[in-house]
Amino acid sequence: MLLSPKNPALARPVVAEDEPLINTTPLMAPSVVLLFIWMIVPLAMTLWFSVQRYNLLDPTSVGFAWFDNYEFLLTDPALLNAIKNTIALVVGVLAATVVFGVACAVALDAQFPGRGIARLFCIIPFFVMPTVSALVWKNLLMNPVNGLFSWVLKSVGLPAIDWFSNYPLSSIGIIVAWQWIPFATLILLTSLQSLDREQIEAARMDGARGWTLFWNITLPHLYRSITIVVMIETIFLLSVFAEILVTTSGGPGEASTTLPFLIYKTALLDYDVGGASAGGVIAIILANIVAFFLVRTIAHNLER
Amino acid sequence: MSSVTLNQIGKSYGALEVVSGINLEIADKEFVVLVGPSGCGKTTLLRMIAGLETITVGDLLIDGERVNRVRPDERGLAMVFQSYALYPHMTVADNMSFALRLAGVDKSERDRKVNEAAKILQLDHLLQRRPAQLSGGQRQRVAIGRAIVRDPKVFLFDEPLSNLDAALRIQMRIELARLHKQLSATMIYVTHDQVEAMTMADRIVVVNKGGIEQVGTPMEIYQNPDTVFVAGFIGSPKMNLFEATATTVDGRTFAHLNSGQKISVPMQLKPGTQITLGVRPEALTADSSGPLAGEITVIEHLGGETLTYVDIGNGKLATIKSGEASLGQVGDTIRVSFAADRLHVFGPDGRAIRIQPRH
Ligand SMILES: Nc1ncnc2c1ncn2[C@@H]1O[C@H](COP(=O)(O)OP(=O)(O)OP(=O)(O)O)[C@@H](O)[C@H]1O
Ligand SMILES: [Mg+2]
Repeated sequence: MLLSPKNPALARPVVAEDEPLINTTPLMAPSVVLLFIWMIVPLAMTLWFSVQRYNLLDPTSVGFAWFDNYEFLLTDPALLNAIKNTIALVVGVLAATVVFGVACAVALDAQFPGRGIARLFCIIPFFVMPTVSALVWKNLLMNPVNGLFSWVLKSVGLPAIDWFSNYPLSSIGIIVAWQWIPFATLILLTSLQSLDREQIEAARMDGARGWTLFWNITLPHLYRSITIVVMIETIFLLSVFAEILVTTSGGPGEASTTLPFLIYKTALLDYDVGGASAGGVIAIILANIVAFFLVRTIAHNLER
Repeated sequence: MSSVTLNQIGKSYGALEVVSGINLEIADKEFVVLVGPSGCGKTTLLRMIAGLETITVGDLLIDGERVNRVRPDERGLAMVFQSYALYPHMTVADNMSFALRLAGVDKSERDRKVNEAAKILQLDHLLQRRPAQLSGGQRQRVAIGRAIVRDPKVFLFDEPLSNLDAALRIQMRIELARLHKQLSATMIYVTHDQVEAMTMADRIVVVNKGGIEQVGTPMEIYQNPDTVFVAGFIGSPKMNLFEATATTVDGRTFAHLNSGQKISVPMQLKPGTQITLGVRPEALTADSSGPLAGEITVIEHLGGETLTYVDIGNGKLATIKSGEASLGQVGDTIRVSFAADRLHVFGPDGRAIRIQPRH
């Protein structure tokens, strides 16, 4: 039945249109249904809770809060602060990973002894769990007393920096960037390897070398891959959480609280499930706005 | 004035010597074609001239000046690559003006040069397209245009036509020849296609195993190949080459073919010398009193001409090129002859033993 021709008249050997002979839509149904349930149940529950009075510490407060949760959140300066922090973190890390990723990719594409080992080392940070790498950075590198950085600073006579108190968001950004540079490097390196050698030689004959070669030939060639790196990383960077929890817990004050962390704080530290759900809905809306522009520009770029 | 001189040029990759002892003088406005089998070092040689590959030994002179250590863009050469190597993110106009832009030429001058080159190559209407939106032949022309705008002393081509289909290849061949006249520039052209070499070259350089086998005009090389290799490589269908041993009977020299038959050779040779006889397919004619006999095994009708393959013993085939008419049927035994002056004799070292100069 599923495989029966859509239109018996067309089932003759002569197929005029490039329309498929059988209707394949029903065959996709199982996966579509499963994915739909997968998405719609949490979404519906979040929407439901976001209009409820639901506090884990206060079982007596129940019933519809309607838009009180939203109003409370949207008038809370913490939300705007969290959104700002999220954007700063995502944009900063994206910029850092693209710049360093391109630099590493170009370096690793060159011929030098020990290149295989260097490539391997460059990829390793990507395989370290976020909590582990955050702990390593916190305790071994950025610690103001025992950390490597403070030791280096002290040994050249400079005062130690208390990274997580003074530059909390930047410090987290550095850790996250360190984890994602390998990813960018990997994608950009494969792209570089597909750059036609004769194209580079033609450019050299045309008088391009060093920076001019990089700007006019290499970078334009990497353009698509950079777009892909930005898109994939944005998805993951919007939900950075473990690094914040392990290092600053969103502090000092609210200085490193991002949107996911704010939702976590509202739900599990303030026990306000209703408020957290409202935060979640706002995050979904924001993520969709970002996704809309991202996908549009990227689709445009990839078409070129 | 733009001459190129190669003086004992050699190239090694580590211990591997891929090109050695190349001596060549290329005069101003000359169209020189380097031809040879795959892997013989043509590209390496061209890339050394271009400056994309370092020269291990020897001197490269352009206009009498040693340029071994001069950067590629400062040698005043332009190269057209086999893959065209156009910049995919730039328009045709930008591709062509890239070198000028890097050299700091101002916009109006760049546009003028690009338009001039585009007119010569009939690219006017394509200037704002990107390479991906062009056909193979058009890309080829853009690659040539990119070379032209730089006004180079010497054009270098590395198998520029090998990615094109047969019809387009012939058309581009004619266009390149026309361009050479129009620009009156020195051109060095690499190909493994001996038809391209024969039709376009002022002089052909036959390269084999990293060395030069012979240099000469197309007709010189065709009529008087210096070595067995050149004899077999230039000309289509291939020259018939028969291995033989020299014998002397009554003071006359005969070649005892390895395939069994005997042919008289109009020269004195020491008996027992291992020689190779060469006769072009068009020099062979069916002749009932000819010295060679054999059975026709295959007949190929090409329309205006016919190729007949004759088994002259031990499965050795001789190719005969004749006009439209067949020389016989498959299975017929025919006799074959040739004019004595069309016979090439090569000694045991593979070098030609001249009977008399031919023209
Ligand atoms: N980078 C390299 N390292 C080692 N050997 C090389 C290198 N480049 C080329 N060769 C060798 O040098 C020889 C000549 O190569 P080249 O590319 O000049 O051949 P070619 O005459 O252009 O052949 P084709 O007609 O196939 O293009 C080949 O045997 C090749 O294997
Ligand atoms: Mg080659």
